[in-house]
Amino acid sequence: MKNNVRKSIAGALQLPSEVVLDQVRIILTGQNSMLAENHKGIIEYGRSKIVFRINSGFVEVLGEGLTISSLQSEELSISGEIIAVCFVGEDGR
Amino acid sequence: MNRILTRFVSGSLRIEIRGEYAEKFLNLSLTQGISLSNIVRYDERRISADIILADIYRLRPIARASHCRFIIKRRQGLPFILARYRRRKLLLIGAVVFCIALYLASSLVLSLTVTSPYSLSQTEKARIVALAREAGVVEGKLQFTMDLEAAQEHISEELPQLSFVEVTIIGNNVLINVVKRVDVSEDDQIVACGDIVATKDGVIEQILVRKGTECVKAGDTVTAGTVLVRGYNQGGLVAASAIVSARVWYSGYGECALDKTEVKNTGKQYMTVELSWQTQIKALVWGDNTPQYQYYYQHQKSVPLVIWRNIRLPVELVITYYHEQQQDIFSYTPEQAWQQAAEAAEKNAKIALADDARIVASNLKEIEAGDRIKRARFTIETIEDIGDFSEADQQTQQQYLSLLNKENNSID
Repeated sequence: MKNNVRKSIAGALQLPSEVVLDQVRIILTGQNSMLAENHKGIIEYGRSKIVFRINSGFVEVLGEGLTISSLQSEELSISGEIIAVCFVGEDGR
Repeated sequence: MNRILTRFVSGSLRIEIRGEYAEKFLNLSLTQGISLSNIVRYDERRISADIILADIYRLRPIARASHCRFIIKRRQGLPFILARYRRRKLLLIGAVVFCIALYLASSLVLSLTVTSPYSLSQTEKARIVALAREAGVVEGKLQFTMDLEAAQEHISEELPQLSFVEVTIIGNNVLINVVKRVDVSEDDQIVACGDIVATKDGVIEQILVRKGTECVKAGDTVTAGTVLVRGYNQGGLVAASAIVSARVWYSGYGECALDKTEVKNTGKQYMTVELSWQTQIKALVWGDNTPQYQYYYQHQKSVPLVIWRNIRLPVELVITYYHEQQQDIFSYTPEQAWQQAAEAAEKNAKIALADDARIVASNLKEIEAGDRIKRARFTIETIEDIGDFSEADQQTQQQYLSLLNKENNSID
């Protein structure tokens, strides 16, 4: 309900939804680099899989030779060969 | 780039985090505002990451809370480089000494070269180099201790036949660029209506007119500026031409004390640099203000500090050069003093002597002046050409034309 109101306000005022709704913003550059803003922390970190928390669940990044090139409170930068990016809900779906 | 520079300046560490809950360690670091980079997992229990040096002490409680351990694997950045050199002081001193030595070596003057757009004889070049050396521009000296302007002035003063002197430094070479005064030949001059006038006082000996009308005759006494031959004849206005020989007398005075002190430059010099605020407040930044020489003369040069174009700071650099002089005291016998005075008098008498003057008589006379000084007067009598061409102005030309008309009318 609360999110719907925020979404309508953001739409009406043409505000960026990642700011108003605190959503993750992911920028993929080719297959080798990824920048995620508004993440909520690392859940799992491995060479072939990185999972990080976002406002509405988790994001799974699958690939090979993955490294976190920069980790800051708002920003997460991943490099390596990225194969898939999956959004997983709180319920695991 | 900014981040890399910040990391370099503040220093960074490569740490290895060991434990089962490395992700917890990373998240706790994030909550504490510690940023990590280049995070690489090696195996199940080991992760390595880069952190800023200042954050290392904040990692201890995080490691304890996440049941992890961390060890420092590598140190990089400016603080560590400085620390290394702080331990190896001699290396640092060596590097500084090397830089200073390189700077000084590149500032040394190794040679003096004289150049001119016209050809100069070896003797003239040697004379110019000798004068430059006298003014302190010497091989083996540091460039910034030399006063090039003073050398320039010294050469110009000593060699008046040079119309232009410039002393510059290119690399390790001092370049003295000179231009000789070239007199325009009579053939190149534009001939206009004019008179022959006397350049000196004298008694006319002989006058031979080629063009114009003579105004004086042999035996007349003339003073400098007297018109000798007017610039007109029966045909009209002309550029007067004549040879006017006259007896001219020159007189020179010389004196020499029995105890005489002569001051001359040794070529040694030093400088001081002061910061001046509105030409009143001065702060010494280089050198020693107390005179290091017993006898010296000094001159100053102001260098305004220009930031950009005409934007200047109210502060300027005042460079003072001290040139050493030495005083030589000579004691003469009365005969030697008389000889010196006579030579000086003769030299002074001959200063104004024309090159083509023929000396017909000379006379040396002693002037009574007491026991401790000898004074002499040298008189020279010459016969020389004292006529010089002088262009007539419009008014004079009008006068000549009216004179010509009158003469023509009287003939008719």
